[in-house]
Amino acid sequence: MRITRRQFSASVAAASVAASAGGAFAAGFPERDITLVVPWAAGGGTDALGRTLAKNAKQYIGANVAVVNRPGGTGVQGMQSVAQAKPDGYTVGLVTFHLSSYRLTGLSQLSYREFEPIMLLNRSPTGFLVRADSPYKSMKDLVDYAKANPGVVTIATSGAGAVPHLSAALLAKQLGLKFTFVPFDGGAPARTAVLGGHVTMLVVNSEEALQFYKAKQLRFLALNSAERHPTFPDVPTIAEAGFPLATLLLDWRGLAVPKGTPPDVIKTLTEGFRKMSEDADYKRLMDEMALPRANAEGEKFTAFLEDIEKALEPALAEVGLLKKI
Amino acid sequence: MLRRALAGDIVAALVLASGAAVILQQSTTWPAAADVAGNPVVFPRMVAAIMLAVAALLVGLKLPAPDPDEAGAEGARRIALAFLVTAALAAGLDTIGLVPGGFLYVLAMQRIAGAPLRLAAPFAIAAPIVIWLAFATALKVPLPWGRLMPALGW
Amino acid sequence: MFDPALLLAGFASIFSVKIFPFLLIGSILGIVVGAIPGLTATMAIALLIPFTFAMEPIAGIVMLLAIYASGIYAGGIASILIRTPGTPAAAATLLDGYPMAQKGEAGRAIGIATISSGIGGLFSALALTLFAPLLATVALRFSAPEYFALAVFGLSVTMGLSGKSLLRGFAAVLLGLSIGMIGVDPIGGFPRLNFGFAEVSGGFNFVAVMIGLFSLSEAFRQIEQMSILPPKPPAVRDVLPKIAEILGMWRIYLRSCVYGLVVGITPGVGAETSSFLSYAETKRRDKDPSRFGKGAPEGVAAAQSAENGSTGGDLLPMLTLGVPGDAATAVLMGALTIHNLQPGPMLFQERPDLTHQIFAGMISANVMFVVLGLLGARLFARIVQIDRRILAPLVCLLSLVGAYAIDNNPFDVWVTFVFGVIGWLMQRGGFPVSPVVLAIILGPMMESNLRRALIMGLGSPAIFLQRPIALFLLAVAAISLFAVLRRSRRERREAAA
Repeated sequence: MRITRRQFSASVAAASVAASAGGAFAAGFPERDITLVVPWAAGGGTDALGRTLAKNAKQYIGANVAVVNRPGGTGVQGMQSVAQAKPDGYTVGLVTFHLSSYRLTGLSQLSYREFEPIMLLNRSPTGFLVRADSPYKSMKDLVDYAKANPGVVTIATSGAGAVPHLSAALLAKQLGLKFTFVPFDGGAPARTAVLGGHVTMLVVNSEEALQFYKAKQLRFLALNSAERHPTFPDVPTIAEAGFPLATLLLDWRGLAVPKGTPPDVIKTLTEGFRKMSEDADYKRLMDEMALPRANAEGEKFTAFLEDIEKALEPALAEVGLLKKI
Repeated sequence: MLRRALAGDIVAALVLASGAAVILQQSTTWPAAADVAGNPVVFPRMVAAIMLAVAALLVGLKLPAPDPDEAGAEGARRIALAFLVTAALAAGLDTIGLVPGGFLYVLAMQRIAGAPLRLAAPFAIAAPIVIWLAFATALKVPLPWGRLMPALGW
Repeated sequence: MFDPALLLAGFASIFSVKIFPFLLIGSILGIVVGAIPGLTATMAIALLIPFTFAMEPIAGIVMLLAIYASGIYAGGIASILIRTPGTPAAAATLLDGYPMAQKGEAGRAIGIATISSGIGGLFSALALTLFAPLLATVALRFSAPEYFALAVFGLSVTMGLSGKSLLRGFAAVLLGLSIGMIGVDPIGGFPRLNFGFAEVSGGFNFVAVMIGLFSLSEAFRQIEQMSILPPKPPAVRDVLPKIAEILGMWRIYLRSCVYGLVVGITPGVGAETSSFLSYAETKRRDKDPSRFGKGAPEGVAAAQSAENGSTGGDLLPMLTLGVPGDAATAVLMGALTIHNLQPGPMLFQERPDLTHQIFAGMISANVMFVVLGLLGARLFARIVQIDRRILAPLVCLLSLVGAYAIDNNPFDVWVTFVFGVIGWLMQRGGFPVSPVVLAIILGPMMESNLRRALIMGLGSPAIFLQRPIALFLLAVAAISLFAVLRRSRRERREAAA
């Protein structure tokens, strides 16, 4: 089932793009509204991030940035539409982690190679959590139990092949454990299943657990990160919990434009979006959503994407989802 | 009458059976993910098996006929024309645009339905324009303006 | 936790000059987009989010809530008048609403629909206000096995809808399930059954399918049978339903409200499921089920009250658990997030004033659309008085344009046309189309939750026997199927005798 919705105002912006196609750019870029394509549904975390980022665009880049949601096909449709858009800088994509995995899982040929990366916006570490009344007080308790009872520990994840699932699978492989994974359609339903006591452990992006961590309904066992999280200062990293992982996978979100966009347009966009990402409203939202901000622009973003793809391949092979095309 | 009902059920049975065959055949190409939420072919194959069973029952049980319709040959001519005109609109909507396309479509359909031209014409002219004003102008939902319109200077 | 003083303060702020105009605008806009096929409340909410940036958060949220409540209600208006569900939720309303309009009772049908929606909506808004924390614990009792059982229950009940032949209903369900499989695997995410067509890589657009099956197919049927149909239904009679008539249906309302609430708090299913469930159960329990589908006011009442009865239920898991109950509440959740209000347990602890304003807004929105709907009923009802030879072609055009408008995609026009033809063929062969629609909605949810349930049970189907709620729902599904089977056997015997 696919119930779609669309931003009318943004569609109008898109229509005007089509209407005035063929004009020269660079010199006066931007001379009309820019479209930011969000490949996920309105209402999700990525959508909220995109909209808050675009909210005060006018004062930083000299044009409005209209958000268009183009969900479907686990993000492929939206990102594909960006890759195929006219490379004039007026279509910017909010690309997400899935772009790193499409080629490896056989979902699509699409990868970062079809884009000019602008900047990395955020990196989210995976959190390992249990319900507050769970007998497992630490990661060690859980690992010991799982060792003695292979396959009995059920793990709710935000989706098959997403970073949390892969992180938990890598942990299982390294420690020789067997978990039973229950994939859900996103972090929220997974969290609900653990809150209701239907599944033992919750493995999702750490920010998904924020409210329930504050309300003391869920307990962090560990955070799959190299350093502690400012919002969850008392939560040990996975290494501190006693299980240093060989590979650390991180979920990410960033901005990219179609391949072939002129360099001076990219420069203007990079400067504009950098200012937007330093806006007080945006920073407050990111902090309140417990999303660690990141800044890696251009080349550094590309290097990050190359690294993550290399790390992903063995992880996907481990969970049986590797299907290279 | 009984023959027609049976014909409907046989067509339905054929649709279900071929749908089931496609699902069963395609499911052999799906990746059986090792560690991810069970085997993806289980549910589709289950449904396909039930489809085959229901298809067999549809042919075997000889259900009573549905209510007959009395529109006859006149009705058959109308519906064939209506399908044809609607397919033409679906094919041409992007090219000729909603306003002229909608006008021609409504006019043609009203004539097929048997409305006198005097009664049909005002509605055929007004409807696409009202729809355009409501969707595209007021609610900002883009509708096809048509690739021909700019050529005509609009 | 519920606090009467805060609720009063909430009402005071809603009826202040700063907020009330937005409640009114939201209600009117919701009715407009709800009644127009192809435009849904979900779309309207998404459209207006950027406009709420400049507003005070609560004014924006109240406006979006009003669009949500009245948009769900108003889908029924187009269902009654032209057999086109304005929103997916309104598909059950047309089963009796449209025949009522064809008998000359369009005004009465809209009146009943309006009041029934109001009753369902108010009930669910009050339940949300008074029992939110308690209902949240109920929502937590539901997980994959229960969702699966609920989907089975929903499908088994709808199968019997046509009444005449359970087997043909079953065939329709299977058609819907197989259409729902096209696109991607709901858990692994790999493409399946799309045969290389990029247009269906995300599955068929469900709204386009629905408009084709219900609306276009009926317009085709009318054009076919134009020579034997009366040129127009008889003139509009009374609009306001009598109070005694409404009170006489209290049992239906009670059941619909409970269905609406339970289906609503279940994430992933919403008004479109609860309305079908309630309609089918009301029909099954009626002394004379054969009246249904021919213009029984009880059918309209059951569908509409369950539809709006699920709105409060859909909001509940979104507000308390951060899990949206359906597509519209998912967008609402985004709106809250952008205003720096994170739905979840902390929202109730940190911002009790705001949660009570939301409750007050939801209650007021449900009263608002009843007032507006009753004022407009007589006006709306005039539409069916247009000559059929004129109206049917207009409905065809509106259906096709509506399909285009959902996604600005010419392919969806073809989808609607093809399903219009399929719907017309099914009607000729005595196959009901509603089970197709519900199966497309419930199929993917049924499949993914069956798989999840089996994993949770470590591979054993025994999990369905160990969980009382799931077992109960499956048992009720089996019983209701059996009852329909027995009744249709008896009817056939009587017809033969």
